[in-house]
Amino acid sequence: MSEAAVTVDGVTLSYDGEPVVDDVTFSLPAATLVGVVGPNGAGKSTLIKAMVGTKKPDRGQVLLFGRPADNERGALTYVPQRGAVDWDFPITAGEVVRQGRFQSTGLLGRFGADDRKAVQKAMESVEITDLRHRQIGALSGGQQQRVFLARALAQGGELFILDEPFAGVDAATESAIVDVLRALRDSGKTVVVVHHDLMTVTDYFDRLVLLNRNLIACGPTNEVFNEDSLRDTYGGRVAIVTKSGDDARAEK
Amino acid sequence: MLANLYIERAREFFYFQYDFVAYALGASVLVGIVCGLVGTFLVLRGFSLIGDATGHATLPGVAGAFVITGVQHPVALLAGALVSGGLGALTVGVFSRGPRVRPDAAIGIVLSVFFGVGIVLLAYIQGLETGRQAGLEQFLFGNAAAITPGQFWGLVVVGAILCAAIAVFYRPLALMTFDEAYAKAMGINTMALEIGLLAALSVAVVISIQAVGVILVAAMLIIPPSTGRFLSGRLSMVILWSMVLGGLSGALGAFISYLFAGVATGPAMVLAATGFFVVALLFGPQGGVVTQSIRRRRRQASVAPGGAS
Repeated sequence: MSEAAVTVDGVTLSYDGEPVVDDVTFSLPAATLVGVVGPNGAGKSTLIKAMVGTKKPDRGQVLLFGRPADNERGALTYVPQRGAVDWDFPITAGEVVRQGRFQSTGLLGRFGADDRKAVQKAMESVEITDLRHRQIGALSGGQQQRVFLARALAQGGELFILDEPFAGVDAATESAIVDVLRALRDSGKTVVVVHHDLMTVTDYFDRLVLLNRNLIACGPTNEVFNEDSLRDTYGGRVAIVTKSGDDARAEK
Repeated sequence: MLANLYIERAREFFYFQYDFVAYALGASVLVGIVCGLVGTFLVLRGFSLIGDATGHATLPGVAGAFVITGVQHPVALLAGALVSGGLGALTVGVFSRGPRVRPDAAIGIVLSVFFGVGIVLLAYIQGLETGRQAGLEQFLFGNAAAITPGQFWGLVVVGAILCAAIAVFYRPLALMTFDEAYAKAMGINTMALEIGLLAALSVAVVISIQAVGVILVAAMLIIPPSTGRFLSGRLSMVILWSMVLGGLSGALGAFISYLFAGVATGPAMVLAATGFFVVALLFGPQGGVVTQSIRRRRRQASVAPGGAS
């Protein structure tokens, strides 16, 4: 087997001395579509921050493709939570997507033909080309999320990490995003997605990371997505109704 | 007659009858442009009031430099302003990162403590023999007419360097201002960039205080960018509008201040900038109050049922 795309090795992360991710270890093979699942406050987003390098672990380390994450920044593409930015910001959808090319252009480099082509292709693949001149605040939630995804596609990379890309988006956008993520996986990229909706977990992801401060399980979806592991992840707050096939539902 | 006096003064102003008028005008325009540029990033980042704190924080530096050197040397005074203003901005930045003090409280603390120290030093200077003639009070509200040719050209050089530096770092600055998490994940050193932005702010404030004063310099950092936001939905255009309107406000301020003896340049500039702001607030294409209500009415009219066809 080739080198793991992501290795999280004994990572502990805390805020104000309070650990929110405690001694978590797992690794993810390349070219898979991985869901990170757990209840609110389970440390999912914090773990993501450690992977993308915006939060330093108290203990342990994150390796990307077998090397320290800091050395592999260029291989990683991050799609932050939609709520993390000010959507009234004076910027058009097209300009946001162009930001994805910063690593290629640098401070003063020309925005060349390659860059333009990457941006154009990215916008086409999530169908936002028509929206490129619109100020981002004038877009719907789903369209905004597509803009974020297009920026990531324009950036490229080997590992894509998305923080709750399906939060507050319409069904059409959700399925469009899933199609794009699958296409990325099929072309050999590794895609890690923080996800909330247990109904769609088995449909979307090859592998799962079940997290609730500690690692509950990590492995192929059909092996780790079962009643026991979900009870461990969500505590007593979850009831699973397994209907035909792989349809599962969580209720509080 | 009174009207004649103003017409005469306006004529003096526009014909640059006195050299100092040209330098006052130039310095005021420069202040408007530089503050408009730096201010856009501050306003969009939600840091508007850090500009206010930095402005007030320059006062103890100006007064302290006078106390130490004993003379009214502009370079010494502005160096003092840079040190204490930069310290003020940095203190806000450091405080805000901690868990116990929220940014608004940090700004309030820094602003009032530094300004208080400055006022105490000014009072002390007033009591000195040399202090009464120093005229340091003009740093409170600004007096562009007191700017010498040498100071003016110094401001031009520093202002040009500042604008060039921001132009070079425009892309990462814009990225960080819009989406810090993404910028960090990309490997951009946002900490260094933010310190750079605060340094740029300090420099902008320091070269502005002679013309606009420490109390109102924040207005020139905040009002023109806020005006620009009503005029365009693109960052580059917001910056451009902000610089243009900042410069115009500076020019108008210098003019008003010359026309009405006793009106300091700072308040006059702020009034001019506010005039532009009100117009943009009402009629700006990006969310102007009147613009929006007209659009809403049109939209309702176009979907209204029962129209004769």
